Amino acid sequence: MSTYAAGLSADIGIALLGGLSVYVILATGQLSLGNAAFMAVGAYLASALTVYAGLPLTAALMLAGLASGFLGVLVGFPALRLRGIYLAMATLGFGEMTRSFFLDFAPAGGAGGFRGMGPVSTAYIWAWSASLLVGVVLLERSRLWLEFRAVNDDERAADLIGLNTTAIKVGAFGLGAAIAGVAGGLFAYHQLYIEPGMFGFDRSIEMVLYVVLGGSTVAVGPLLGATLLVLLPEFLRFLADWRLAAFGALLILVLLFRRQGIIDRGMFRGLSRRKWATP
Amino acid sequence: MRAPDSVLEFRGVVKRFGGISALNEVDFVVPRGQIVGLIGPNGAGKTTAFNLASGAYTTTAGDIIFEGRSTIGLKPYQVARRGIARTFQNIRLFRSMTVWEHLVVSNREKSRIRNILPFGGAGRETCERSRRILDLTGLTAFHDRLPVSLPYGMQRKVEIARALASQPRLLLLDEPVAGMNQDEAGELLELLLRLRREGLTILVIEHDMPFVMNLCDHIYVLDFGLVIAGGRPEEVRRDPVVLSAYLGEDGGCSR
Amino acid sequence: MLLQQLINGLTLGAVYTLIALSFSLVMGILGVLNLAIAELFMLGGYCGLTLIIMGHSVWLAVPAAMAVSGVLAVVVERVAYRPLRDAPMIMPLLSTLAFSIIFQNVAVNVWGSDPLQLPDALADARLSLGTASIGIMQLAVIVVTVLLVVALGVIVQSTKLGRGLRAVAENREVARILGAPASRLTTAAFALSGSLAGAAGVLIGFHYAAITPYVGVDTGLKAIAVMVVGGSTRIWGVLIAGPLIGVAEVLSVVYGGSAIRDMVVYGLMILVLLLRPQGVLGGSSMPEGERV
Repeated sequence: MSTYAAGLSADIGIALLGGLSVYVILATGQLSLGNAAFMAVGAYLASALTVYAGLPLTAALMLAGLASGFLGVLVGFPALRLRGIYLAMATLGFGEMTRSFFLDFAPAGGAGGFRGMGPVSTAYIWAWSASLLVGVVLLERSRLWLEFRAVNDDERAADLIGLNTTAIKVGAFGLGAAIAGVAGGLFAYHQLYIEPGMFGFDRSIEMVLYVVLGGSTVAVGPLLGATLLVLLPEFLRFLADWRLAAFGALLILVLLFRRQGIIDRGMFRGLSRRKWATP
Repeated sequence: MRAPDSVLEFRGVVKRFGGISALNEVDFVVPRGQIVGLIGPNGAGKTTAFNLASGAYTTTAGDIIFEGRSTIGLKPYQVARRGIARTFQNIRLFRSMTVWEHLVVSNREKSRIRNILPFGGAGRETCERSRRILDLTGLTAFHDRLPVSLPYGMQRKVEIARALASQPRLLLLDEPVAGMNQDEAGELLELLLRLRREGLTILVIEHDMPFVMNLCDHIYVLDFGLVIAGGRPEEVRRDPVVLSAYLGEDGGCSR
Repeated sequence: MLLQQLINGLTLGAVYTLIALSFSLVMGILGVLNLAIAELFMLGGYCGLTLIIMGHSVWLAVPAAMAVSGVLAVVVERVAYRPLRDAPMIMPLLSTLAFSIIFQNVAVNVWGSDPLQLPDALADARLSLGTASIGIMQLAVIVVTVLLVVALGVIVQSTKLGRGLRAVAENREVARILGAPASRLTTAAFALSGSLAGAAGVLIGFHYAAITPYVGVDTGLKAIAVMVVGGSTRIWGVLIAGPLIGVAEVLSVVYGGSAIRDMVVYGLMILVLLLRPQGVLGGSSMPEGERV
């Protein structure tokens, strides 16, 4: 694999994790526009733990995931009070707050950024991405995931049939944040250099786009979305300066004509149904 | 009447919204193994009573006892886990889930590990029970359908099946035959009587008088947030207070 | 010195107020966050500044920018909002975002990524006010803002259009019942909102004496915060929130901690979202009174 292809492939792996982090939270009906913040926390923490404390990268990534997940749970609790667009705006605010925190946080380099991370192989990145993807795909076949979907479909009915909606929604936030944390750590090592500007509103929106374009009802949706969006600029290279405009137009077309994303659950229904009914 | 073994008991329950009293010192008892009807004109407070019993609303005053323990202060999901399941006046199903998935998610999985394992939520025992519920409710052939693709009467059955899947000891049904045709209502009557024979206690709100009269062992009549009468169906049917308040001149049996 | 900073803060706050009003018109009436507003604002700025540089007056530049952004806002409404108005709110959010990507790309290609500067003669012209002085451009910002706010006030309070908008804002169900007139109201809300954003763009150009293709995102996000702090369902709260945040921002930059400023602005926004009862749809428990 050429360096160029390897680089793109690593980008896809990291983007996939970003998409999955939004996907898991969205599965319970909560839209987060601040997942770049969890990524930032994971990125800075994993980098600091390896560069300053000399921890092996894998251990650092696990800790970064845990810490981000914990932060996600903390964010998830106030998020319970908000729905829809109001939740989206609050998470947007949380994202901006986190970004400006790192901008002013001298130990992490502030606006100057943080470096010292060594290069990491594409295979290593994909080991993480693939395992987490498989993990989410398996989770999707669990009863717990049905609980997630129940909360998304009708939160009150879910509550009244005995599902602890608070735990489910907060848990989903924690899980999504943890995945974003790992994505951040890998991102830091892939880029070799991080600065707060990398974790702004644009990044959060990108993660949402992977999910919405690829498909928000199956975990392979974010995989497809991440792949397409990472490769799209390459395909649109011939448009030169008008690449982004073409991308925007494409985005509108997909939203207008394929609301559920390119892949949806219906395509997979046959697969999972039979398993449920005949254990 | 106060049966020695009551499943649900309202004791002086008051519910106010702002200054308006929806329920005013309501007392009633649902004995174990019986089907009890809750009837009354629109706005009498029937659904409010259901919402209080299932924990969706908090009481203003009074106590609600389920199997000897108060449910005051419990969240809806905690009430549900104690053993009260309900259906809704306007059907509330999970739009993305098949009938079978409704049963799996409603069935409580005690093992946390099984809960997150792929297909772990549908162990043999669960599956057998779920199949039986499908069979009872006549939904076996539709187990892999999405509820939106089913006719209205069938959707009501899915709600009941979902409620049964949580293995309740008390089932609250809010207008279960609304929107059903005669045949479907007849089937439902059979089903509920069968569930009672198996020991399930049922509290039902219903406007269809012949249905209620055939189904219930005991009926309470609510009007303006008060229990104005209670008794066996034939007693309630003859009660002059009830006739004037609710049933109308012809006793509501003209259907 | 302090007075000078207060004036700077007020002009920045005036711009925030206008963009926040622009967000608020669509948000309050339709419950949609139109992310394209950020770039309508930027495009308005380019149109206005281009005219100024060509030698035209403020009184032509601002209306022209308003017209351009207003028309573009209607395009956004027709293409990105209308077909998706019954879809989950994430859809119009992303489709309007798609427009902002397109708009930004167009601006970069037409005007380049370097800042478009206001002529020095204009940028440096000042009016002395005793110990402080006010730039002619700053004065223009405040005057134009006041005029626009008054005009919007008249439209919303005393015209048929305004009554319709207020009715829909109070009860979105009304919009469904009204049907066809509601569709006209939607277009009007987008057009008004877009033209306010366009005017704000020209004014931010005056404030910074320049405009870049990237001014939209940063200022736009902050304007969302201003809108929330001022009350996203009522339109007039931003008249206080805008200048307040503008002044707070300028002061915090001067007296240290420019990063703290964003923390405060967005922290305030989150706090308002969490504590303000309206807009916060449902709590952790079931809202009482709703039929289940």
